[in-house]
Amino acid sequence: MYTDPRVVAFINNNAIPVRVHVKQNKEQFQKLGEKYNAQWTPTTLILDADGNERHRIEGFLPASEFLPQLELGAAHAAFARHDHADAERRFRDIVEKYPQSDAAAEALYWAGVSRYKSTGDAAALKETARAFGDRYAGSAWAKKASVWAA
Amino acid sequence: MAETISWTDNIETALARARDQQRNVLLDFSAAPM
Repeated sequence: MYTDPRVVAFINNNAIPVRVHVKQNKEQFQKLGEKYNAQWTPTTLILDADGNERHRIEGFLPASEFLPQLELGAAHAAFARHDHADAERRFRDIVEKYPQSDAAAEALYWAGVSRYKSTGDAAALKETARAFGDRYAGSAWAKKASVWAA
Repeated sequence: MAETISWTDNIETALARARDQQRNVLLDFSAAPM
């Protein structure tokens, strides 16, 4: 995951990378593994600058899925700090760049929520339900958005 | 030469840098050979 040049570039441009090795950093792993409930490796967390978890990736993913997950983490972090315009831009970017990824349906859902949060206009939710249409039909996110269609 | 990731294992320093640079922290729990 961490050898793909796109993954390396994204991390270097967007995050401060911390690695805790279960065997080589036993003390750190005990402390941080307990704090962040890391039960399995690899577990990758996106934390905000206050140390709050904003996104969790458990298990190995190929770079084509890992990269959109990292971007999802950055978008969720923006959403959590109430920067809804930035969050929406990031979520929509994921849908556009990685439409076939597992992250895309989640990103489409939260793009709509971010728009609603920044505008207060419920039409944003209805538009999101419409945008799902037949896309990502098997995903939980399409099902969650379906309630906005009425 | 290919770009690489400069990992740290110091979470406190990483969080301080994240605050300064308005970034997030990527925390990776790994068992892979380093």
